[in-house]
Amino acid sequence: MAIARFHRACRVRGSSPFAVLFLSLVAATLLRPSDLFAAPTVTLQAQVFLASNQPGPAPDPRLASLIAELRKALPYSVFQLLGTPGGRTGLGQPWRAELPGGDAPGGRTLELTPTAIDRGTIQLQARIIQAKIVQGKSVSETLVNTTVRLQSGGTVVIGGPGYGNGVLVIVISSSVP
Amino acid sequence: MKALLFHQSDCSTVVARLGAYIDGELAESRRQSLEAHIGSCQSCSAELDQLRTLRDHLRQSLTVSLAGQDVQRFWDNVERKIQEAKARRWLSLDRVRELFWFYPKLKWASAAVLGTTVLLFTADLLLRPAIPPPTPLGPTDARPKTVVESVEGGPNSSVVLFSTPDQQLKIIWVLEQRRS
Repeated sequence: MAIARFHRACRVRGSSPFAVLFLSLVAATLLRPSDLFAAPTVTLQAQVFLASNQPGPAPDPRLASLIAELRKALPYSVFQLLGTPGGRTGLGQPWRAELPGGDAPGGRTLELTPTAIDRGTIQLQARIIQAKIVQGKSVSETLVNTTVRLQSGGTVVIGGPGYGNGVLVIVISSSVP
Repeated sequence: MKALLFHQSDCSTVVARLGAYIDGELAESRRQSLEAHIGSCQSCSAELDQLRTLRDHLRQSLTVSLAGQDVQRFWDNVERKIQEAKARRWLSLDRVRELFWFYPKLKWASAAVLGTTVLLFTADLLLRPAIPPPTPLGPTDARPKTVVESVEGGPNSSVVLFSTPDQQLKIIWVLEQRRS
């Protein structure tokens, strides 16, 4: 009696191993091996400056050469770094960063979409989308839509949208591993 | 060597089931499998004899005078410990071995699942749509560091494209329409 009870307790309860097998089969069917082979990713970086002729804080020395370049081309003396959003995304997948400005909820958005990669050169679609109030409703409109080719580490500058006492200048760079 | 390994593996499973066998609690198919093994395995046969002897001794000598509630508590604890141990060994090698021993067809089913999985992976790799080749971007040598391929403004903005004097920076300047 006692031994019988002991062994009854030891007994493996009758969960069917075929149920486990069935679940494994379903899992194997649902698992998409192509997910393991993701498209190459692109690292994106934006430096957002407020360009103005108002006195401002001293620029970061690490940005001195870039700011000197910008001063050569743009009629502004002060370039104040507002932010450096960055991220990674895959081919055909948009990456977005909020930009200062805009007069409606949603403000401005920088949208970068890598569309091709070829031997270290990245083809990139860049858009700035701005929300605005029209007849009491918030609508989005594109400020600029451009397609550029950047060598890995190369930059392109988009500027002009007004903000505060100056304008925004966005230096966009991208790289591939 | 391989046969010996299988033999040992079966023995460990058989030994684990001897108690249930003695108590007559094995299902018919399992009992027959076990008896067939014992009939051909001296080691397990000896183990069975020892277990029977031990059980007989226990029955003769164990006359424990415990109160009913103590006995109940004792067995409750035993069962709880066993259930905990079972939970721990659910995915252990012994458990797997035990499953294959009692369900011989499981070997074939497992092989079928493995084969199907490999087939699915292979088919998926072969049949998934090919990644389109990247847009040809021209010869590397002649390519400047940054090329603006197209640029357009929005409905309420226009754009100007220019470069720094040394051509190091390409600048796209957005001119927003002033609102009235």
